[in-house]
Amino acid sequence: MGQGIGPGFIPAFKFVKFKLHGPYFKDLEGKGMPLLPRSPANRVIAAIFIVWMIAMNLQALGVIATSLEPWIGGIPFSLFFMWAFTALATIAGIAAYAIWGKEFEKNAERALKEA
Amino acid sequence: MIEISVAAMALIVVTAYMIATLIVGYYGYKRTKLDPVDYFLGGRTLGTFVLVMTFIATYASMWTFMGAVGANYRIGISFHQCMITWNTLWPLMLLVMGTRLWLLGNKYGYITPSEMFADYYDSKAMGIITSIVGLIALIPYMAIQLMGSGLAFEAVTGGAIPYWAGSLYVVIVIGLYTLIGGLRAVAWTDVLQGIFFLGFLWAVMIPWVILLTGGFAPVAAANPGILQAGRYAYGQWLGFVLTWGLSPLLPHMFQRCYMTKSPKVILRSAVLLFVLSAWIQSVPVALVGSLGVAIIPGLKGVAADQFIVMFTAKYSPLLGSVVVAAALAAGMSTLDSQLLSASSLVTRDIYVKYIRPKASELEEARVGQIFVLAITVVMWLLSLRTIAPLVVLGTAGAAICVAGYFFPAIGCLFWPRPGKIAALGGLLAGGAAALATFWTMPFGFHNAVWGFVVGGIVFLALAFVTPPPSPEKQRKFHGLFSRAIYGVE
Repeated sequence: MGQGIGPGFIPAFKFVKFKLHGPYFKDLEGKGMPLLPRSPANRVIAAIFIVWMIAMNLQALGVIATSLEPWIGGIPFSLFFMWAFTALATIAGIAAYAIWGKEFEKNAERALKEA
Repeated sequence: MIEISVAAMALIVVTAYMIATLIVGYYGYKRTKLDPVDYFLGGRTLGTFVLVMTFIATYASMWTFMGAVGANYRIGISFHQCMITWNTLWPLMLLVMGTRLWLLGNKYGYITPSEMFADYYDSKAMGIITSIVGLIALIPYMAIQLMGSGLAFEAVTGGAIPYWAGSLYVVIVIGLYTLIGGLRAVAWTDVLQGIFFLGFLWAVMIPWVILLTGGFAPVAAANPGILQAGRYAYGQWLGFVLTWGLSPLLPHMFQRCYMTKSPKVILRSAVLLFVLSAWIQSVPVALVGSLGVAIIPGLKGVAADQFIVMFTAKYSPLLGSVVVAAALAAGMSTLDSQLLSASSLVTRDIYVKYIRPKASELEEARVGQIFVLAITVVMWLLSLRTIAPLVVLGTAGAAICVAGYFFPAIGCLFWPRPGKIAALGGLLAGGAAALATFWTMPFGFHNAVWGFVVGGIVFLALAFVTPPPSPEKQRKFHGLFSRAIYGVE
């Protein structure tokens, strides 16, 4: 990290990282607060959502998949593209529940009972 | 054979629907206790089916049934692309953000967003400003439901039932069951209304439109632009995606995260909404609107919002009346939730906090009912002028709240660094920027974008130079997430 950019980059990066996460609350593993628990599966799910969002932005900007051709099963390509990527995001959302849901239910009920 | 005028037919069909709504509302009223948790949150007892239906019915309003169909008519599937994007984003926000809101509401007993923010940031000012921003944002959003009702009656009867009479009729029914039945009446009527308007779109409108037009290919031959993507101005696209994609921050959606005690219910609701919102809601609206240019061409501006009513009334006055009832279902299911939410903001955050701190639970619930009535009257008066297409007005209003609430929510839910000064700065700057650019939308960027940019700059600048919340508050909130979400002891 920082290779080829200059020797000043690494201390600057560490300073910014300190300011972001700082001596403020962290979980007991000493890490910051991600959106979902860290795991390879959740990283894949996050990546799918990021790719989906980028694809939607590029299509909205008129950069990709704007035309009707080629028609796929009677649907214009522009519509097929947005439906295909959104289907992927929908599946990722369902997968997030399948992977993380039971764990959350168990931990949440326990956390709510604690004083 | 008895001849019935179109206006009379519309009144009969809509009145039958209103009676059904009042019966369901009465059922909710019988089970409502007059205390604030029961009146405003249904006692936190909603199950998955009711919570999902109240989420989707509250979210999909007159805006969806008439406004979004109108936008798809005017702009084509470029607008659908925007809509399906935000309709995937907000269930994701419910999964990530809603679960945290649910945890906090159940652990610490919050009823309104202001209570949560005021507690975390130890700031009375945060509480009252949050309420005021929420109310300012809800006003245009509520008004468009009544505007849509008036437009629907006027369209199906060719003006025989004037705009003001149609909206008055609707507001009286909504005011009645919301006032007496509270959240239980609202939630159960949402179930009825959601099934009605979504079922109508899928079972009647889609097959009918496809039959009349022949599908995409014939429409594309006459209007190729309607099926092209990338034709919606990006500044507007981004604003709509930000506003509606973060709609769990709107007060009436926010509070739905507090309406169940079960973690299973909140999680399953988020997952089911990925399918319901992105697909079941977005697709029929897109098909009806974008294919509709081949059925009734040439509608412009606000007139396009009446397309779905004009189209059905043209072929069948009876079906046109059913469409009006379905449109009213969409609008009423949102307006009743917004009315109750607005009443809770005024009752809990202003009346109980500053005027009558010693109010009993019964008094609080009664005052909540009075505010439902007062806000109903104000909304009807405000709705008497149609000043812009429904999607424009509703989105610009909601943007004020979303752009404001986003920053205190970030600190409260995800990032322990920003303290009350940063949160207040983000809330005020974001909300004010969105309000100031409501009509002007400089450089073509939606007011939501301005709210996020200006609010974000102020929030981040203050976050690094002002004190964070106290260690106790950080542990109270983020420690709970650490245990519940990451399973760390």
